[in-house]
Amino acid sequence: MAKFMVIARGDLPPGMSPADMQRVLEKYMAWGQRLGAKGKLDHGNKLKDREGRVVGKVGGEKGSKPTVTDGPYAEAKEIIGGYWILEAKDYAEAMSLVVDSPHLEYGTLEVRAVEVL
Amino acid sequence: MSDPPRQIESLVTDLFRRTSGRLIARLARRFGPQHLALAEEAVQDALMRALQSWPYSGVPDVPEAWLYKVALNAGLDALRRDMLGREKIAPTIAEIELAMAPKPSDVDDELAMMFMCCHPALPHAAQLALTLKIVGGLGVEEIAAAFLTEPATIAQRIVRAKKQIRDQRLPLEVPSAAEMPERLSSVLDAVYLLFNEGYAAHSGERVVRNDLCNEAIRLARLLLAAPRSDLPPVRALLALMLFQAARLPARTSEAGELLLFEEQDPKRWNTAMTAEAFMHFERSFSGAKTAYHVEAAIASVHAAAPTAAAIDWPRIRLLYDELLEFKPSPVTVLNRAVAIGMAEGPAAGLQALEPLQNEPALARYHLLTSAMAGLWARAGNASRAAQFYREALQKPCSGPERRFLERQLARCEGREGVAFLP
Repeated sequence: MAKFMVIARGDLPPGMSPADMQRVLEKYMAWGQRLGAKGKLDHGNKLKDREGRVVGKVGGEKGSKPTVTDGPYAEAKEIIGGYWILEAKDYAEAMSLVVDSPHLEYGTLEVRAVEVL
Repeated sequence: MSDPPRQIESLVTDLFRRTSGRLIARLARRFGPQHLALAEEAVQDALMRALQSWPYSGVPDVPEAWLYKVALNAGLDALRRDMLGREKIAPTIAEIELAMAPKPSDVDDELAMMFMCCHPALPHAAQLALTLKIVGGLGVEEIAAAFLTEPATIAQRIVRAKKQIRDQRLPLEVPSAAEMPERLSSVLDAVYLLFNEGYAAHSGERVVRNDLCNEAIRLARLLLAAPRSDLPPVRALLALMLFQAARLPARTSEAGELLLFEEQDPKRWNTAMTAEAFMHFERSFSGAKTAYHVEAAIASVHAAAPTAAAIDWPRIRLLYDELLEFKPSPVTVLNRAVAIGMAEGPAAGLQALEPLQNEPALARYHLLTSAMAGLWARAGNASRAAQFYREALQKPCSGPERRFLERQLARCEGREGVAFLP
């Protein structure tokens, strides 16, 4: 059984009523519960909004000092909300676990296998 | 989420809607009713934060406490921002933080909010909209759909009501024992209207809006949870609503079509709810009788009958006579006539409907015309019945109601294959 990281990008629409939010939350929870019941969900975490640092070396010159900038996050659809670690035997199974995620109504999911050597 | 299969559903079901009202009430009480809008925004913020993190990390052990903490911080931040550049707003942050320590019960907060939203100084329509929005956690769109109004109209009603609350300094408090009977009657009116709105939706595809019915029942239970408002009329109203709600699952077919009482499957009645209704009903008789008592009595006669044929119509008719004294409305006269028709035969029923023929309040009300049609059908005059069913179909009604009337009409016209009743 391999581990897969599922990175969730996108944002929820603004101006939802509590009843609207309730419905959205229930969909996510039902999805998480289905995965959990099958033993496919390792864990998940939300990442903090509107912060983050990008570290790099400008120009990539040898010996130049690393520069730190605040997260770029230009567009809402690029925002990473959080991630889950799933258990699956291959990409086919991992994809089958995420295709019915309610998140796809609000953004995209990037699925990456965790490499174990 | 280390243990994802936790009973998430039971934890989360309805949590946001229930909690949102409660939290707004708690915050508004601490910040003062003039900061109602700020309290609403803070709670909205907290719910949104939850929605953005719980899908990843799971629902916290005590979701309400989590939401309260986040909402409180959001509210305090907003208050601090509000205070920048101003000398002093009352109450100050320090005072609010002080007031935080000895907290009255949540029930008290929510009740206070209910009494403020249903303050008799506010127009009826505004009371309902405000109660649904703040206490019930419904959105403007949903409230508009429930009341067949434009969202803009509802939004405006709410804005005006909030302004009135600020301008007239309507109190965010549970009324004193002396004021209670009068204030309570205004709250009960709103709860009753809410239930009726859910019980007999006047348009759209769903004839029953369970959301509204459940919310009305929840609000009545809330009133009973506090000794000060645990009064006999509340029990009578709760009994009335429970008697009727117990029949809701049987009122429509699997396909969502409206069923006649005779067609309902008694197995789909909620017996536990009926039992609870009888319990409250029995405990509702220690004070003055109200219209709710009489209506609950009528519903109890229905509930006591195991089959349609066993309904004690003469008793119901007498109860309607009594209800007429409390509520001399055309709708009461109409319902009484239907009872008379059942108790004494269709001719007597039609006679009792006579005074309503030129009643302007019922001119656009399809139930009068369809009641006439039903009585003519039972009197064996299919062509008169068909005439009234056609007339009823000209008036506004919900999709299932319309199809119901169409089926009855087809039956009267003798069109086979579409017959609805056996």
